[in-house]
Order: sequence, then C-alpha cells, then structure tokens
Amino acid sequence: MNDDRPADCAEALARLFDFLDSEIDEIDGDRIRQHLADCDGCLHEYDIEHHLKTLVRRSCSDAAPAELHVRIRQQLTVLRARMETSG
Amino acid sequence: MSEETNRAPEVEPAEDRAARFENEALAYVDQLYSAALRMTRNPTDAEDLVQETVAKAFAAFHQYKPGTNLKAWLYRILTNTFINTYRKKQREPQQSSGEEIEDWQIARAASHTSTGLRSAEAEALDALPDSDVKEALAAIGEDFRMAVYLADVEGFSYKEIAEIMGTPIGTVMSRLHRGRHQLRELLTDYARERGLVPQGGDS
Repeated sequence: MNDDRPADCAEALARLFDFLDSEIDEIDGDRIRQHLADCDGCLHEYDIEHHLKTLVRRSCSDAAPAELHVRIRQQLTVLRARMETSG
Repeated sequence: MSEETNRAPEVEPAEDRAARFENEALAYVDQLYSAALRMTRNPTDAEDLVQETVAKAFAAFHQYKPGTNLKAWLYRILTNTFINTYRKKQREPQQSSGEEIEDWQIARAASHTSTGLRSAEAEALDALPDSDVKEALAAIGEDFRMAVYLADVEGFSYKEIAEIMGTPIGTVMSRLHRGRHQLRELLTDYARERGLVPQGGDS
C-alpha cells in the first residue's frame, strides 16, 4: 500500500488508531492526512477518537497519597538495612 | 588515589545500586499508583500493589539494564504482580476472549457511512467530568482498560504495551480497538444522560 496516492475511507478508518497513536510510517501517515483533509466523515471519526484519547489522559491520572510515598521510603530503608546485614 | 577510581566499576556495589534505585525508580511511584488504581479499581488494593511492586523491583534491580526503559520495566513488574496476586483475589469474571482482529476492522470500515452510529460530538465529550471518564474506564474489561490506559495516559508504544502485557502486538491493537469502542459508547451515553447531546440525535 506504500504508493503515494491518498488513502481511501476503508484504509483511513482501518488505520485510524495507528495514525492517532503515531504508530505509522511517514508516507502512510501523509496519505491518511491527505484523505482526512478531503473526507468529512473520516475527519469526524478522527476528531472524536482524538478527543477521547485526550480526555482519558486528562481524567485518569491520579497522584499517589502522601502516606504511600512515606511508607515506600520506610519500606526501602528496611530492605536496605536487611541487605547490609545479610551481605 | 588513581584516576581509575572515577571509572564505573565492573560490578556495582549493592549499596550504590540501592541508592540508584531510590533516585531513579521512586520517581515513578505516582504513575505506578495511577495505573494500579485502574487495575484494582480500589485505593487500598492499589496502594498495596504499588508497595509490593516496589519491593519486587528493588529485589530484582540487578536484572535491570541501565539505559533501557525503566518505566516499562517497572510497569511489567506491576502488571505481573497484579495478575499473580490481585486478579485471583478479585475474581473478576473473565472477559469472553474473542480478540480476533478482523471484526473490528470490518466494523470500523463500515462505520462512518452507516446510519445508526451513536456518537456524541467531540465537544460534548470534552464537557464530561473526570469522574465520568474514570467510571467508564473502570467499567470496561480489564485487558481493554489497561491497553487504553497504557497507550493514552502513559503514552507507551504498542511494542512497549505488548512487552508489559506479555502479548503480541496484534493483541494490543485489538484490545485498544475494543476498549476505545466500548469507552466511546459509554461516554456517549453519559453525555446524553447529562443532556450534552440532543436526545435521539445521532449526528
């Protein structure tokens, strides 16, 4: 499929996630980009998937509670002490 | 004192390695916790899982090759620890595994011209609160959830996700497609319930 004609709908949609996730080579990426510029339906699909990806990133990161950081430091202190006595 | 002392020794003393672990690996505790919370869906289990992961990573740190991807290495330990201990405990009903690649490709290829596509406008999805997105992600199958999380939140490549999850890349792609598809349907429903999408309006 590596010619320089723009992708058609079937190809653009089948590879939409590869394109979205930057898992596509430059030539195929350009062909899909070209198709999206010409096809409202595919562009709409891309737009939604792109928003979803951004939305998940925005919404689903949680920082660890401060107590967990403290507990892990303490745990490592114990593990290091044990390591020194054993070896 | 010769200049030789400045060169990295062939075998790193255990205490240097331990110090290096604290400096490098502990920077990922927040991210590990966030991933653990997606896996376990429960803050207490997530904290235990991260603690256990850090202890295991510390014990195995001599196996980690400096200069390779430390974050992916830690996520692999996190994932294995989860599978070996927590998944059994949680007894989540197994997903029906039908992970064939073909049907999502066919479904996708037909989708934008088909009439019954349920899809909110992108802007409506943006207006959803974080809690809705977390809830939707928690509602989809575990393997789908983790593939989406690792790709979208952590920005891992398909190859890295395949290594972390211990599956072929094709399986990662299939999980991503199915996971995103389910997520989109759920979020479209939520947007509709919140009145962000006109009732019955499917574009």
